[in-house]
Amino acid sequence: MGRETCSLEEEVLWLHDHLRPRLIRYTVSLGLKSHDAEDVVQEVFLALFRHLQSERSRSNLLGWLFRVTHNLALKRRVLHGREDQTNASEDLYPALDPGPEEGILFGERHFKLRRAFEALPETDRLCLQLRSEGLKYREIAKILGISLGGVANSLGRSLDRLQRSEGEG
Amino acid sequence: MPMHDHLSQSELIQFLDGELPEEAASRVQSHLNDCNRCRNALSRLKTLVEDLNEIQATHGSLAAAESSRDRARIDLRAKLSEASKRREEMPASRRLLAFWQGIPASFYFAGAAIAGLALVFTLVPNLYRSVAEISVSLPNRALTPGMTRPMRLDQMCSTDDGDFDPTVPEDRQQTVFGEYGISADRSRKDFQVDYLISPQLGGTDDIRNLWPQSYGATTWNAAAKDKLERHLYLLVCEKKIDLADAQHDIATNWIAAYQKYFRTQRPL
Repeated sequence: MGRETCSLEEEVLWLHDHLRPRLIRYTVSLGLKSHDAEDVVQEVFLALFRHLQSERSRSNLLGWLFRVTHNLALKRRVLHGREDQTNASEDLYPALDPGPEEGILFGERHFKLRRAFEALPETDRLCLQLRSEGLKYREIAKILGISLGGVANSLGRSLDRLQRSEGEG
Repeated sequence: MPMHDHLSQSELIQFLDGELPEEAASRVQSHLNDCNRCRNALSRLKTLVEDLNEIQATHGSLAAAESSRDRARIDLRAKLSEASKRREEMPASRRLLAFWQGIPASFYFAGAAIAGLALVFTLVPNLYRSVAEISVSLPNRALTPGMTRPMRLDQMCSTDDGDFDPTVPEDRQQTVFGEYGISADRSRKDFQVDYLISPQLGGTDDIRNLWPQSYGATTWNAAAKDKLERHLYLLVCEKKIDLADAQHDIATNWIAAYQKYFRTQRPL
């Protein structure tokens, strides 16, 4: 029993090493400050440990991790109230202004795209983000509490909008 | 799809992500073969999603996460050790309670719904058998918690006669069917009275270690459990797992044990 627990700890730490940055990124994009995001992600991996210890399903652990991260982050967001979220987007891309070298063509296009991405409604932004994380639409729907068709529509809508923003000024 | 109906962004992204049903995907593919405008749209879309991925890769939190990685790892390790220690100190009854408490409420609602349906079905005699089949993939733990006798490993491993299902005396089988509310004459051909913990793993023929198990009507049938018993026996005799762990796992939930030891969600 002790040996099994030990290897389970190592497995969770291994997953932590590999997936923590992506989960923190997702948590921050939900409007939490970096230090809160750190706390949430620690909670998530502790929950994962308990999940595996109870011999629950191991299928699609990535989807499970994002789902739990989403729920715990929203919980914390509600607990901490709105004031803590003010300017939370500052944490998203600290170097938002393009530098002198970056300020032409490629950099400018990215800059514009980034701004348009950040301006998307939250659900649309999260849909795109979870898609970029490699999750299937079914998992995204489950995490965000929307239908499968809702995910496809949201992605289509956001990508249309981002493409239009690229063509603007 | 007529040529003038060009593909929507939603269709294109679903196509790109392999999220369209097969038929729709082949319709989109044949449209793309014939439509230059949609091919260009797909190409622009690919560039856009690549750009978005790059933007994600430059997210400010990633660098911060990297710089605090070691600290976070140390913190998590300490929390995991504490959680393990707490669990080991927890009495078995509390562990079971914690297990049930850990199950999401939706499972309870689903459980309640299934229980309600089972009640309705049991009132309809023709459906009696199918309900019985569903209910016996796992034994009722109150009736069959599993019973063992003390066993020495060398003795156990040197006396394997290959019979993992020694016949249960007739009167005892009747008692087991009676306990589970299954009429013996109707169910004999569909069920075998099985040892929850097989005798080779130290299980006894006590009534608390016997239960009626389906032969073939469910996925998790007697054949699957026999396979698990043989596998566990070998693992114990090869000293890869402890006998007590094998007994505990098979008695707690043999299906979960099967999934754990064969590393599969479905029977092999």
